[in-house]
Amino acid sequence: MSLHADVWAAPVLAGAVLALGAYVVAVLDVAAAGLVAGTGSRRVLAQPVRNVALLIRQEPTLTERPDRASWVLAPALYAGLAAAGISVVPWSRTFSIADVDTGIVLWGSIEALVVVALFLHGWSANSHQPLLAAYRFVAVGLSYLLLSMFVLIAAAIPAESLQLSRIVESQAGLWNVVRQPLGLPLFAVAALGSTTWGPLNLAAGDDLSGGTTADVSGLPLLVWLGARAAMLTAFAAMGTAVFLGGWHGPLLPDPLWVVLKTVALLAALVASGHLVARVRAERFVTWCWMVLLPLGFADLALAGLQALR
Amino acid sequence: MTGVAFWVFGVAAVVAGWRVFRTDSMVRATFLLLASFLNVGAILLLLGGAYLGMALLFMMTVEMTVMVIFMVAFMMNPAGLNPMNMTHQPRLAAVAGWAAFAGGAAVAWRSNFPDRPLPAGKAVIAELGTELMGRSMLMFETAGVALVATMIGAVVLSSRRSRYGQDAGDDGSLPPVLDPATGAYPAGVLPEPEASGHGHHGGHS
Amino acid sequence: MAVTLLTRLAAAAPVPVFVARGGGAGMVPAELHADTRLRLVTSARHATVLLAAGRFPAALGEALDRLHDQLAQPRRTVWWTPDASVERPACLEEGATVVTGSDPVGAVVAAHRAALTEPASADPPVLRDEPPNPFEGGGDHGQGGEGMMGGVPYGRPMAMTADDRDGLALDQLPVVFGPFLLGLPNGVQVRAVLQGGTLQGAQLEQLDLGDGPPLPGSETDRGGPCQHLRWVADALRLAGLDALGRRAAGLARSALTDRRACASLARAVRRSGLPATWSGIGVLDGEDASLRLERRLRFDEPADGIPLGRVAGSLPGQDWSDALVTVWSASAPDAVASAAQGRSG
Repeated sequence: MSLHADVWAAPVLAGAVLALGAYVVAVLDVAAAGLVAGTGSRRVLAQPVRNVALLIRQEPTLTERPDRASWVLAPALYAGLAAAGISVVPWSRTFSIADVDTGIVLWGSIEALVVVALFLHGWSANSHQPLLAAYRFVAVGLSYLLLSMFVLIAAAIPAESLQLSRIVESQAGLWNVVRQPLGLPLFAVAALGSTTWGPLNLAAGDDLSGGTTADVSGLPLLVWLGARAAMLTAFAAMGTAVFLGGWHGPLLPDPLWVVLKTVALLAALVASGHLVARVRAERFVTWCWMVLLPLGFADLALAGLQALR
Repeated sequence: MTGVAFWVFGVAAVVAGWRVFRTDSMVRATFLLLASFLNVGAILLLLGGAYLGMALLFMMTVEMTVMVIFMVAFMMNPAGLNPMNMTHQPRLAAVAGWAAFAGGAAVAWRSNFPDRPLPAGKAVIAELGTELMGRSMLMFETAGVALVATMIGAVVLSSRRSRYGQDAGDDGSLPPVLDPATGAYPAGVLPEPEASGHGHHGGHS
Repeated sequence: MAVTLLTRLAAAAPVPVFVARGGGAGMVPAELHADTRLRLVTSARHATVLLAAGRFPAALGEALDRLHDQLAQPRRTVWWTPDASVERPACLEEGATVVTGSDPVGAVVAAHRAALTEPASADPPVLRDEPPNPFEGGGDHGQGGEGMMGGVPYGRPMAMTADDRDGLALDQLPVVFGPFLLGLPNGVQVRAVLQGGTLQGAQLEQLDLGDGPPLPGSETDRGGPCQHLRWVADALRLAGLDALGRRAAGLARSALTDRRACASLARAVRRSGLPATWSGIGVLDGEDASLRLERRLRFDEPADGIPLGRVAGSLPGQDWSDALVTVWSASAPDAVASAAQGRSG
C-alpha cells in the first residue's frame, strides 16, 4: 500500500534529507545559543557553513595507537544508523523511503546500535577522556533504551501494527501526543540521550574535554558531528510520525506538514541543550529507573486500557 | 538476490566468529562476536522472521555492550600498548571445536530439512503475538518479570547508596555496624581491611 | 578557486581557541567567552589558536609545550602577558604573537586568519615525536610486566587490578589531569587513580606560577562581583550551559552596570536545574557544591576558597566528573593557592 523508494535511490534520498536536517540543527543551535546568551544571532545561516569549512581545512589527528578500524567505523556507523532510522518515516500517505513492517522494533535496534557506535568512538582513541566518556554514556544508554521501547510500543497499540505508516494512519482522529501525553516527553529523553545532546550530553561534554571527540579533529570530527545532527533529525522525524500525527494536517501538502512538525520538535530539542544543565550519570540512572520507567509503564498501561475499551 | 544475501551474511558470520579467536583485544573480540550475531539476525530476517530477526539484533547488541563494559573493567588494556596472548587450554579447545563441528556437520548432512516457502502476505507478526500471549504467556511473563527484577536489583546494588543507604558511606557490601559503641558487626560478617589504593598498580611515572 | 573559497569561509568562522591560564592570569581570560568572534574549546585538538595567558615557568612551561603540540594544524600561538621579558617555554619562543594590552581578541583573530592563509610558515611541534621513556618490556609476549597486564611500558604505568569497595578486582589506572583543564584552578594538576569512572586516590599539586605583574584586570575586584561572575561563567561551561556562560562572561566584562541582568542570570541558572544537579556532591565543611554556587550567584562567597589538601582528601570514592565539580566549587581562582600538596590514597 505504501510506495517504497528504489533500492538505489533510498540511500541518496536518506542522505539528502539528513544533510538538510543537519544544517537545520546547526542553524537552530546557533540561533538558540544567541538568544540564551543575549548576544543575538548574527549570520545564523552562514555560521554553520563557516564552521564546516574550518573543519575541512583542519588536519585530522591520530593518537598513538588507536584502533583504526573502529576509529573510522564509529562515525560511519552512527551516520548509517541515522539513515536507517529516517528511511522508515512516512512522508505522505503514499510514500516512505523503506516502510518495513517492524519499524518500531527497527528503531529499538537502531538505538541499541547507537550505544555501540558511541562506545567504539570513545574506546578506539586509546585515550583516557574518551574512554571515560564512553563508559558514562553506556551506563546511561542502557537505562533510556527500555524507556523508549515502552513508549514506542504504547504508540503501536492503537494502530495494532508495528508498521509506521499504520501508526500514522491511526492518528487520523486524534494525535498520540493527546491520548498518550507521557509518550513524547519520554521519547524526547531517549532522543537527547542517543544524540548525547544537552542535558544528556555525557559522551561529548565539556567536563571531559569534549568526551569521545577529545582526540578527534578535522574531517573525522566533521563526520561525527554531522552524524550526530543527522541522528537528532531522524529522532525528531520519528517523534513526529509516532506522536505528532505525521503527515496529518489541513490545507498544506503532507510532506510539508512532516517538515514543519519535525522542525518544531527539533527546535525544542536543540533549545533544551542551552536551557537545562547536564545531568550526573549516576543520578540520572537512578532517576530513570525509579521515576521514568514507571511512567513508561503507566503510559503503556494507559494505552492498553484505551485499546480495551 | 535473497540467495546472494544469504551467502554474504553466512560467510560474514563465520568469518567474524573466527576472528573473535584470532584477535588479541577483548573489546575487539566482543564486537566481532556482535558482528557475527548481527549477521545471523540478518539471516533470520531473510527467513521471514521479521520480528524475531529485529529482536535478535536488538538483544545481541545490548548484551554485547554490557559484556564489553565488563571486559574493559576487568582488563583495561585494549592491546594497544601491551600485546597479549588470550588463548587458554588450546588443545582442549581444538578437540572440542572439531567434535562440535563434526556433530553439527553430521546433523546438517543427514537431516531432511523441509521445503515449505512462506506463503506471501502471511501475518507473521500477528501469529507470533498470538503465540506469545496465548499458549506461551506464562513462560514469557515469568521470564520478563524475573529479568526486570534482576536489572533493578543490579542497578540498586551498584549505585553509590547501595543496599544500606546514604549513611553507610562507601563500605558497599559491608552491612552497617550492629553496635556503634563496640563496633561489632552482625554475626558471620568479617570486615576486610580497607582496600582502596592498595594493590599492584605499577606506581606513578 | 575552491580552495580559496573554503579558506575564506574558514577564516570568517568563530575562532576555536584554547585558553591556557598561567601565573598572574587569574580569572580574566574567562571573560573572553563573551566575545562572539571566539569559541572557547575544551580540547586542544579542536583549536586553531593557543592563547597562553600569563607566565609559564618551569613545569608549567613543559606542560604548555605538550599542550601546544596537541593542537591540530593549521595552528598559531598567541602569548598574552604584561611582561614579555620573563623566561618563556619553547612554544612561545618564535612565531608566537605577543600581546601586552588588555584585549587579545584582535590578535587571536588575526592569528587564526594567518594560520589558514599561510600554511607554509606553519607552527612546528616543539617536542620530538618519540616516546619520552624507553620501553621496559620483559614478559614472554613482549608485554610490560606482571602477568598479562601491568608493568611500565614507555614509563607509563599500565592498569592493574585492585579491589574496589565491594571486593571486586577491577582495573585501576593512574592518570594525570591538568594543569590547563576546565574545572581546575590555574596551575593545578591532579594525579588520580581511576577505577572505571571512580576515583580511588587523588593528589592535587599546585605547579609553580612564578612571580611578576598580573594581567590587566586581574588584581582589581578581588572578591568583588566580577570575580564571582567569571567563576560562574566557567562553572556554567563545565555544566554544559555554554550560552548562559557566555551571558555571565558578558556581564563580567561589562563591569556589571546592569543589576537586573545579574538577577535574571541567577534566575536562569536556577531554572536550568544546576543547583539541583550539584546538590549532594562536593561536601566540604558541611556544605555541598550547590550551596557554594548559590553564594557565588549572590556575590557572597569568601575570596579564599578551601585549601587543596582538604579538597583532595574528600575526592576518593567520587565519580571523576563529580570530583571536578568539587574542585571547582571549592576553588578561589585569584587567591594565592597554598603550596601544600593534597595527598590521599
